Amino acid sequence: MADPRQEAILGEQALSLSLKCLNFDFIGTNPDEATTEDVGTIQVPTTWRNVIQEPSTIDLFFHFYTTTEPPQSALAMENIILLSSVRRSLFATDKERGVFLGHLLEGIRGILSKETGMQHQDNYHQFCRLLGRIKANYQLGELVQVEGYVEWLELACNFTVQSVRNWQYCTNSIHYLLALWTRLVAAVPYVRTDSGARGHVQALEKQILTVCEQYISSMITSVELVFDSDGSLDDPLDDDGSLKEQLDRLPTLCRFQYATVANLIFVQFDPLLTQYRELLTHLGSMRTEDSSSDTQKRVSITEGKLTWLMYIVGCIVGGHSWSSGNLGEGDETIDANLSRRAFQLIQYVDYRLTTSNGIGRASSKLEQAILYYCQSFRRVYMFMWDQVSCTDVFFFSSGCFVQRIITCIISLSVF
Amino acid sequence: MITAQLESASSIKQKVYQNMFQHLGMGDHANVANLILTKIGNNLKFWPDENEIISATLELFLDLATGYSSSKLLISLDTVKFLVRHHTEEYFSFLAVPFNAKHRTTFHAIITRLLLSPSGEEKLELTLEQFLEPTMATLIQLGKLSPSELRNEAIRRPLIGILRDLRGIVSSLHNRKAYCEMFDIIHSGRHLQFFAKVADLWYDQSDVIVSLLRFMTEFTQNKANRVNFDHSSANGILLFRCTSDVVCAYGRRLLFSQANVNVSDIYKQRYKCISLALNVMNSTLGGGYVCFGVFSLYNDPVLDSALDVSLQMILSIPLEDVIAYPKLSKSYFSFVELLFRNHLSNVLSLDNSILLRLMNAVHEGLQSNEATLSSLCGNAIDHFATFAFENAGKDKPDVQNLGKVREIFDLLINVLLRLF
Repeated sequence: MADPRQEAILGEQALSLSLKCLNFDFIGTNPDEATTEDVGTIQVPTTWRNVIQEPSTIDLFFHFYTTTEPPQSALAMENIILLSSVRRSLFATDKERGVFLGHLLEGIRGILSKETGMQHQDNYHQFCRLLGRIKANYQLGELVQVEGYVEWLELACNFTVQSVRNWQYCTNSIHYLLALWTRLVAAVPYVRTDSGARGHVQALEKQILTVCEQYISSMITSVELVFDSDGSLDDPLDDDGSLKEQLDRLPTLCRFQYATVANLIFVQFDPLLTQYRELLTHLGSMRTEDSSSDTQKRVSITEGKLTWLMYIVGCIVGGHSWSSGNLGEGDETIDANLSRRAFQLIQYVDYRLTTSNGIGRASSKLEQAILYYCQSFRRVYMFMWDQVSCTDVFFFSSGCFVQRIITCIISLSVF
Repeated sequence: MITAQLESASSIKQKVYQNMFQHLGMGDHANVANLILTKIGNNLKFWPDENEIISATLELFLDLATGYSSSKLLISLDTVKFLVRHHTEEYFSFLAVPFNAKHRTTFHAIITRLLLSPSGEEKLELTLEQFLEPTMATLIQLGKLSPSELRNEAIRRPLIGILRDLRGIVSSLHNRKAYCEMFDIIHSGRHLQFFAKVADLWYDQSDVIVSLLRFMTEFTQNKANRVNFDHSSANGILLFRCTSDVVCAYGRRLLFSQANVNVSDIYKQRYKCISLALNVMNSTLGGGYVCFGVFSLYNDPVLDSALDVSLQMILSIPLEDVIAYPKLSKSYFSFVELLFRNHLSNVLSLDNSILLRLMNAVHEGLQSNEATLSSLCGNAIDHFATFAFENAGKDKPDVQNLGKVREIFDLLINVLLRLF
């Protein structure tokens, strides 16, 4: 074809056509044709086997992606997402499916390592969706068998780290990436450590930790950036939808190596609590708005950071499970240590509120985060109170008794 | 074996639980609950103007009060003791913010629920009557006002407020004892007539009427068989009189003012309130606590007037509008079904053309995609057909009336044939 413009149009039409074909509700289970989000498995007819199984098909879409610009490239990526969700039984053998997966991961690896087309928002968003979906249709056991899995994992981790670091450009896409890691974590107990690439579990553990660390620190530093931008950056805390999507993924991720992640949180939380208390002492019963602009800035940034921590702690503690097999491994101690900080903050905020008779109020976002935390705590730790408390009356009352003796001693020593 | 496993599971749980509170270092679970409750109390007190905070706070409070074991703990806390004694605008200014009007209902529902929970009155050292004192004091004040004073712009907010509060309180009366006590307090304070007065004076202000009718729906709702008076008591009849007065007072005014309606806002202006008025009728007609026979026996017109006004209200709405608004169609067809179930002779004494219009509506509703609607209409037809079958050939005035509307049966047979 001589005319490149015509070629582009034709390409776009062809991509839309194949997208429509793959999106067809083959077995009539999709009640709402309008939703394309989170497609399940694609139930293509068996007669399509040869075309889809043939590695050159998916390679073609990857090739198209790398050589075009949006909207064609984003359309090509959407096609890849759907192809990656094709039903298991379409493939004649597991080997064929393995080959297909190999091509898929290789294509992704190529994009990850060269960051092809990532400068375009559309491409980027679709690519994140693809990453988020990989684990939905393939088991971890299958992924680890693929050549270059560990390398892929590392590239995906770097990509996630970069995305989270540059959250301001991709708030809507982060949760897809977190979904990938959550799904990988959830599958760990079901994979044999001796199968697949050597040391793949350790590799995953390492990457997960990096992702958690980066997410927590990026969100906390986002507060300063938003404040300094003077309104030109949207506060991710204001985006309820994305915030909730991200928080939903965190418990699984953070509880995977809970003690280490909790330490990361303590390191952030403790100095902030001290700072906040100093600021509050400084403010007395003054309204934040009436203080100097420097104090206002410091209060607002500290509160913003604490808001993030309350959300993060709230969702992680809320992820405590009473039924799972790892009950009794001491995770509740970590829950308690995180919660203690949360309750301390609540006491600070309330102390200021009551002593100033409602004049010294924290930011309303922080109050919302506090309520979110309380809901989580209530959900996991407040439903079995009377069942337990009747048996441990002694435990608590003796605790109180000891406490009282200590207070007596302390008050005596004052005189 | 299994019990041993269960025991060990529960002992692990207890250990986990103990560990939690030991490391938390905030005292025992009652102390922690107190901390959270204090937070709730402070938010309600100091964030009156932040709707989102109030709403999230009440949500948390409601969840705590609904949980069995947390609610038991809550009633031993001082914060809750304070809340049940000071549930007025004076202490909690969020109640006075018009935007929070619907939170008043939630707030009162929660604290009433706590008060009426097992041994709640005892632990909180407050009886329902004492709890209601501030609410009743407002009601007495409002009751003393002359019609022109009552229909004063300055009264709008307190009026909506008290109706919302009452709705919340009544919604938490979960058993016979509590309901009867509340009814006695309202009845002995001569407040039953007050509601019809409000309906009559504020009929054209949908915010007031919505609050009033929502309260009435709750007040007449016989959930968990709570509206269950002694056999010798006239309370059921008194309650129905009050209901009938409210519906008639509102309905008559509304029908009279038919001409000047802004079409663009017709749902908010008219249909929403009609739908709520029908809900009131539905909960009282289906409640099973009123012996409707006595009204015609003693020539008391309240039942006939209430049915008549309600019928006129539903007939004032074009059928396509009924179908177009889901909430309206639900209350509409529920009413028709109740009418056919219990008051068929009233239906049969209607004018032929009206009866045909009703049947037409049922016919239309039967073909609805909404299962609840089509089954309501199916039931209505069933009541009708059963009556016709059982009374065929008998010499009753109702049966003669039935003869006048033969074409209805043709219509229904047609529908039947089309359905299969």
